[in-house]
Amino acid sequence: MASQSAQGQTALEGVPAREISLSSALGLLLVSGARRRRRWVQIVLYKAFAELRFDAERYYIGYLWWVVEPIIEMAVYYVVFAELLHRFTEDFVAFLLCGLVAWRWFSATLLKGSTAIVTNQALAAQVFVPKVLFPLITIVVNTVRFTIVLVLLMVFLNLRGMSITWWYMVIPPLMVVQLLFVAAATILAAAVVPFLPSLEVVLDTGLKIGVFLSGVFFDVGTLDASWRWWLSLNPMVPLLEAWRNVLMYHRAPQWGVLAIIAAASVPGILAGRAIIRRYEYVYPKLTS
Amino acid sequence: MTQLSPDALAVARPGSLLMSLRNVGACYWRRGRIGYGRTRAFWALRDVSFDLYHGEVLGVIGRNGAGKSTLLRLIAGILQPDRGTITRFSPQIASLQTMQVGFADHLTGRENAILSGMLLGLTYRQVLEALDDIIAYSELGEFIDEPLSVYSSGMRARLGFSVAYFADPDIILLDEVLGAGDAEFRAKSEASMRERIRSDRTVVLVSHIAETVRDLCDRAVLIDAGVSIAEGDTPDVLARYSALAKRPHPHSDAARPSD
Repeated sequence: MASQSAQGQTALEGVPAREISLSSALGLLLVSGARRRRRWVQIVLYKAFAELRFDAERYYIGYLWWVVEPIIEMAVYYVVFAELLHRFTEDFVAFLLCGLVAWRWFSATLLKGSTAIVTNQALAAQVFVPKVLFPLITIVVNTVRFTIVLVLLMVFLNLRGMSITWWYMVIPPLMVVQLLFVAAATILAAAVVPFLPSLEVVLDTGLKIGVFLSGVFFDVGTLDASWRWWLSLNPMVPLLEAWRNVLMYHRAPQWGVLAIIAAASVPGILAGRAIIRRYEYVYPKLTS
Repeated sequence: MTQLSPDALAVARPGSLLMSLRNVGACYWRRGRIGYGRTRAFWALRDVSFDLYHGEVLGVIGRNGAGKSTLLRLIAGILQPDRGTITRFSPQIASLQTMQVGFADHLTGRENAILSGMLLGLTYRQVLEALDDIIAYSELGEFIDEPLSVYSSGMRARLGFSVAYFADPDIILLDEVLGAGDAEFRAKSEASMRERIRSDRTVVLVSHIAETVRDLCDRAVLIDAGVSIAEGDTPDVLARYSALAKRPHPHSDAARPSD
């Protein structure tokens, strides 16, 4: 393998600027020794770029689908929560969207990324590719999608009278924390799912339940203390609260909790990467 | 396990040893009740030994199910042996002249060509430099910016061959066929491939057809049921193969993994 990446050239010349900025974020952490493995980084970025270009072409309103599709889905929940349970607060739409957008970043990436090694098995049988690249592509693509939807959401909130504030400065570190968590969950799942295909079903069901246990539809803070304690073990609860604090209430997120999530995610990412490396040559040997 | 020998960084000279396989075996994992396990392994290769020299055209001949495709994947570094050793004496890129590596239907021909070229060993810049030649050779014209979903199978094959041809690895691994695409393009691509094989390139060609091996190869290895049973000059090995072909097929009833 040493031979494949041993061509020593220097810069990412000719690569569009947007690809380089993405490379610095994920490339440094996950594809360490980026210079030697530049070709792999380029493959991740170019594939992500091509997928995003396709997205933009497919839908006229582009990424709005990411918001529209769950809103349709949410109409059902609306009936349940507003009409049947009367659990409705002021600005429920803004509340819901803030939670949904951040939740979708996590759930969509985990669901697609967990099967990334399996769905690319035909490719892995044709040519050597580090298998960690497959979930990485999903993570990069969905992170860009999230960023675009986040901008749309901020415009929407602004139209509803929630003014732009200095609190928006908190968004980049908040994104980094959630990115670390999303990456850890996705890479770990991608490492294991090829060996236990039924885990895909478990994940799918788990995410459907998880949407209720993460406070997408209701404020976890309004629940009984015992419930609140149990739910706050779910990292998505403080993450969604943090997004709402910043975007809606213009308050500081709970940095302590976020720091713990970030600190726990890094070993998760490293463990997932280690498992994938350990079984690098076994994944192509799994027959269906 | 795969080893890189200490003097691997030396530039390979014509006729020098590039790679040697000793008692190599490789197995695929079958799916069990809960997940996958080595306990239900299927051994596609059992005991294969031979040497590959720089600049030669080595034919690997064997009946269907002999383990030829698995062997190419081992040489390409896609798989690693589960027993025995592969020693690489020079850090060269060995890649399958595989068609349509990593092609995605919804992306354009150009995007697929760039991705495929990078997967086959080129850097982004090298692919961009070769892109005009790739497009010209494939004769796809303006279709190159259309999504692959509108391509005919012949057009896909043309693009796939062109990318793999211009990726130009150090060791060319060929599985059965030389060319690709519709009749006209097949003739052109086969001619290009023959020309490249006859230059001083290192080629491993896998086939179950004796004529192809006789026609192109300097030396040959005979593999049957995952075991190498002869290595040497092409006519001698082919004589063993024709004797073997008269015997019943060992895998006629056995299930094979999809490949």
